Amino acid sequence: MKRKKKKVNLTHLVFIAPHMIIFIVFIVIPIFFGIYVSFTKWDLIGTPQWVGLDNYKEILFNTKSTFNRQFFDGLKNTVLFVIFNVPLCIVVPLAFALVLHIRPLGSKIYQSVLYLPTLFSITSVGLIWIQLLNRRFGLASVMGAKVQWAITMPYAWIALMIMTVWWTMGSNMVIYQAALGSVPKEEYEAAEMDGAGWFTKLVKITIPSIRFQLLYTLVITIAGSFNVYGQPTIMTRVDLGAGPKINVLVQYIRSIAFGSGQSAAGIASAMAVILGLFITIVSIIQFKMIRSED
Amino acid sequence: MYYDDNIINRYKYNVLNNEKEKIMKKRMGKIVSSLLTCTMALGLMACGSSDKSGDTSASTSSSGGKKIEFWNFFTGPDGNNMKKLIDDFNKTNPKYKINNITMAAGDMYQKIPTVVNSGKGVPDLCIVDVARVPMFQSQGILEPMDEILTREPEIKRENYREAVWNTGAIDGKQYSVPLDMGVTGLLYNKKLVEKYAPNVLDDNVVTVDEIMDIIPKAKADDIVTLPVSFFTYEMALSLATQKGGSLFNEDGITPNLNSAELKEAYQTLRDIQEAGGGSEDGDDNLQLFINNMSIFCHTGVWDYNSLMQAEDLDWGMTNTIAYSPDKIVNVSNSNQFVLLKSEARTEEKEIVIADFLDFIRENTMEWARSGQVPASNSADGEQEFQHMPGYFFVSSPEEQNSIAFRSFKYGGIVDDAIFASQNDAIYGSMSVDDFLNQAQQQSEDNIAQQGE
Repeated sequence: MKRKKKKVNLTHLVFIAPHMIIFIVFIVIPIFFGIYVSFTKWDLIGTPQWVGLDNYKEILFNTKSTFNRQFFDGLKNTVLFVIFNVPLCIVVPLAFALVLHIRPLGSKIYQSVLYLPTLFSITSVGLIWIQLLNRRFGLASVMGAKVQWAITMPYAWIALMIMTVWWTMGSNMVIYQAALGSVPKEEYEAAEMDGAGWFTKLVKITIPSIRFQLLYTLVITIAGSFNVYGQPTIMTRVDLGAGPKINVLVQYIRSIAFGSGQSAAGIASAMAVILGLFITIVSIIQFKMIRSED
Repeated sequence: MYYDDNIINRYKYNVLNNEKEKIMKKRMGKIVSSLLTCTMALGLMACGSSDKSGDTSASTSSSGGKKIEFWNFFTGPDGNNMKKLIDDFNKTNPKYKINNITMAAGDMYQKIPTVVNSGKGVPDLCIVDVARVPMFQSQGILEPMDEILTREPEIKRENYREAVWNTGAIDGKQYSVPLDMGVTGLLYNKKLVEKYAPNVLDDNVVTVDEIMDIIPKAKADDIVTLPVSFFTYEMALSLATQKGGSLFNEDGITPNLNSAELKEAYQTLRDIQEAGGGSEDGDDNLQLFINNMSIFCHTGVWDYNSLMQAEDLDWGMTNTIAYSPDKIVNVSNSNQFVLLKSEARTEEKEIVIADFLDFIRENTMEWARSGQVPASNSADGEQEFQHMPGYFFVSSPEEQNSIAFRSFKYGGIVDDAIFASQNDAIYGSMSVDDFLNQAQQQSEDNIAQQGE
C-alpha cells in the first residue's frame, strides 16, 4: 500500500518568522559576536586582536588591575540593588493591587495614577527625582533635608529604591490585579464562614492562587534588576564632572566600551559575558522553581 | 427510500460543504499569514538602515537634491546659531546643500565607529571635540584637510588663533579646522565682589591667596566663594600648568597624573573646599551663581546665553584663578571640523565643504553670538563681539597666549580616569594621593589595552 505523504503545515513558522528574524538579528548574532569580542583586544575601529582568556584573567584574577576593581565594585553594587529592589518591587505593587482589588471609591483613577510613572523614560524620571531631592532648590529643601540624598551614602540607596519602585511598580501591579481578579470569590466566602481573618485569607488563599504570577514577576524583576543602568547613573550623579555615587556593573561596562577615550571593547565584552552567565544561572534556578511548583 | 435518499444527499451535501469550507479557510489562512508576513517584513525594511543618521536631525536642506551630511552635537541654544549659518550658506546656492544633522555628543561618538567600520553612512563633514582629533588621527579614520586648504587658501593659520589652529596639526599635516575656542574662566558677581573683595579684580586675575582671604567673610553670610563644578578639572589643570605640570610626559603618551604639580593643584582646591569656600556635593554651581549665592563660578564662555537670561545678575568673566598674577592659564575646549575617511565624499563635495568652512570663517560673528570665542579672527573688529565676555580672552596677545588645550592621543582615557573620583577627592571622601594614584593606574590599564 502506498504511504500517503504527510503534508507538513508551515503556517506556524510564517507567523513566528518576523519575531524570529528580529530575535536572531538583534539578539542572537550580537550575543555571539560579543562573546567573540570578549576574547580579543579591540578599540571598535581596527581589527580585533585575539588574546584568548587574557581579558577574563585580567578582570577576575589580577587584583592590581583597574578592571578587576571596577568589575567587583560594579557586581557588588548590582547584587545589592537586586537584593534591595526585588522584594520591594514585588511587595509594594502587590499591596497596592490588593487595595485596588477591594474597589474603593476612585480605584480606577488611583490605578491610572499609580501606573503613569511606568510610561515615563528613565531620563525624565531621573531628572525629576534629582530636582526633587535637591537640598537647596527642590522639594527636599522644603522638607528640611540635611544632606543631598541622591549622592550621600546611605541615603542614595534609599532614594534609588524609592525612585525605582515608584517608576516600575505599575507593570507588576497590573499583573497582580489581573491575577487577583481570577481568584474565585467562593473560596473567600468559604474561608469567612470558617472564621478566617484577612491575613489568613491572604496567606492561605490569595498568595497560593496567584503564585504563578508572583513567580513570573520575580523572574522578570530579578533579570531586570541585574541589568540596572539608568537609575543609578542618572540619579546618583548630580554633576556631569563626577562619576555616579552608585556604580553598577552595566555602567562600568558602558564606560569602558564607550568612554571619552579609546574603547577597550574586549574587556567590556568579557565583563558583559560574565554578567550574562550570572543572570543565566540565576534564571535557570528560578525556572526550576517554577517547574517544581507545577 | 426517497426520504432516506434525501437525508443521505443532505448529509453528503453538508459534508462536502464542510470540506469546502475547511479548504477555503486553510487557503484564506495561508493568504492572510503570507500577507501578514510580507507586511511585517516590509515594516522591518522600512525601519532598517537608511542613509539618514542621527537621533535628532534638523535638516536645513530642501527636500531631495544633492547634500553634504554634516554631523554635529549642537543640541543646545548654540544649535540655532549653527542652523542660521547653514541656512545662510545654503541660500548662496552651492552645488551641494549642507544637511545639518544634530545629535547628542555621546550618540555621535558611538555612531562614528559603526559608520567608519561599515563604510556606509559616513558623514561628509563632522564636528568633534579637540580632544578627539589626535585619537581619531591615530586610529586612522581622519583624512587630512589638504584639499580643503588648497581650495580655500584663506583657511590658514594666520586667519585663526594660532594655539587652536595648531591643535589640528599632527605629523606635519592639518587634520582639522577649528570652529571656536570654548575657553573656561572665572565668572564673578559684581555686587558680591564689591561687597567681599572690592579690589581683587584690579589685575584681572584672582589668586588663590585672595580666595582664601575672601572665604571667612563670605561664609559668615552663607555665601559660597568658589563652588566645585564640572570644570574643576580645567581649574586643576590650569593650576598644574602654571607650575609646569602636564597630564602626560613629554612623549605625549605616558600619563603623568600623580605628578607633584597636579597633586598640589587638587590639594589647593580641596583646601578651598575645607576652608568653607566651596559648595556642597550635589550643588549646581551655575544655579548658585545665577541666584546670587556664589561670588565666583568657574565655567565656560558657552554659558553666556544662559547668564544673559538671568534676572537680577550683574556679572563678568575673567581669568581662571592663579597662584600668582604673573602666570595665568585658561584651559579651553574647541569644536573642530574634521573629515572622516569616506569613499562617498567626492571631489565636488570637497569643493563645497571648503567653501562652507571659508563661509564660517568669514561669518564667524554669528557663531560668536552662541557665546563661544570664534577660532577665526574675522569677528575681532566687530563691536558686538568686543562687548561679549569671550572677547576678553583674545583682547591682547597675553590673553591669547594664556589659552591652553587638552589635545593628547589618550586624553579621553585620562579624562575618564579623573572624572571617576575627582569630586571624592575635593569633598574629602578620598585623599588627593589616592585619587591621583587610582587615576594614574586606570589610565595606564586602559592605555595598555590599546597595545602601548
